[in-house]
Amino acid sequence: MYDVIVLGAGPAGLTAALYTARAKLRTLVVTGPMVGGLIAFTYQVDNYPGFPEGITGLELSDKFKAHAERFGAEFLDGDATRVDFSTTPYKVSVGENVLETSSVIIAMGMTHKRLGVPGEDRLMGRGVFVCATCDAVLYEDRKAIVVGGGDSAIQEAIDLARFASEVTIVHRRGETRACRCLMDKVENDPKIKIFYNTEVTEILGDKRVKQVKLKDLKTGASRLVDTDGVLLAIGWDPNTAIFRGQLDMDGDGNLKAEGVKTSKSRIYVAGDLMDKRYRQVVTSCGNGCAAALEVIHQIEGQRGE
Amino acid sequence: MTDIQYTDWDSAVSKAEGPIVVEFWHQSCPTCKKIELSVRELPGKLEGRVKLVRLNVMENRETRRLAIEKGVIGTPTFKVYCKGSEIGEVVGLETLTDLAGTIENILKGCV
Repeated sequence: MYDVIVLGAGPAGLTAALYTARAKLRTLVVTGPMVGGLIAFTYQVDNYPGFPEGITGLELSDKFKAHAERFGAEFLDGDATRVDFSTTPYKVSVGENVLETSSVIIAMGMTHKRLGVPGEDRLMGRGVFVCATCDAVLYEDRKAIVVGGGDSAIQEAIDLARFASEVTIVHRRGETRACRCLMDKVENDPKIKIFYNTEVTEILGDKRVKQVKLKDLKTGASRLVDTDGVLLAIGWDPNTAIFRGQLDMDGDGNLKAEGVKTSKSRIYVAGDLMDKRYRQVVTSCGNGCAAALEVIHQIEGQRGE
Repeated sequence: MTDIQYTDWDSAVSKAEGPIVVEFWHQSCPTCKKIELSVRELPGKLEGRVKLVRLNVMENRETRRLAIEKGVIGTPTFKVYCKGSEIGEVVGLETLTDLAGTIENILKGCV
């Protein structure tokens, strides 16, 4: 029986675990797909205080984990597959393994949205990708399509164009939501072009991406375009499917919460699932800490009774 | 697991007598880091049947060009070579489940 199970090992989850473990609460972190969460996919973190030279996302992830481990947090590599919050102690299943806990901190973050078009899943890793930082260098002299129109899509296109021979941004709307600062760069980069009012309806290729089918949303006309890669930057889905029916959420899967408190007592939320506005490493650490302090106060209050 | 770069390709892969597995990776690749443990177990599991080498695609421009020329488009990519010819590959998230088993299956194609 744990005092607290932290679901997710990004900045929020690892900070929460550091605090609860340091408060001598028996703490288990169920890591999810990647220790570090999304920062593991960030090459360089330049805005986390205390690292004036910058630090790579992977190094910062390791430091966060080591810090929580130093105070005794336990780690279980895997994904929570099922939860039962109907009675206490709460139950969290990781495959066959059913764990009991008196409180839970949910910090499972978000996943890149998928297009849901034919070819996408089959060619994932074979030209369909979500992380320019990871693989941009392999696009030297290759052509790439970037799908999306927000800041991150435009930034990824700029990063890719450092290596690629040609980058085409494909955006469903007639204008981007990206800041002027980024659009100026795009407009001045001869290697980048933008197709507005256009969507990708299929990704084609046998063992590698070879083409995409594009549909002009104004005329309805479709055409095939040659490309070596398709980078998806169309936003994020909250990783909350396992809480459906257990916690209040909206139609998009966002947990209803007041600050870090969910609709159920002793279940808290932190990180990108709690804060969609700022989404920085330092703000995630902050609300991970807040969730941990709620757990600590709650359990210490109970022990004092 | 021996580290190679572009200058070693001919001797380590093209002219190798037995089957060779090449991991294309780099130090900022999160999936490469996640599978580190199963990669370290590979020699033990495939002992004697195959030689393992790895190539850091960030090592230098020529090494990166070599990876691109070999068709590598994401990291990690494992390519299996038999008598200098590619006979199969394991790419990206596929490496997270039973890497050794998948490579063993590909090796059946090398007689």
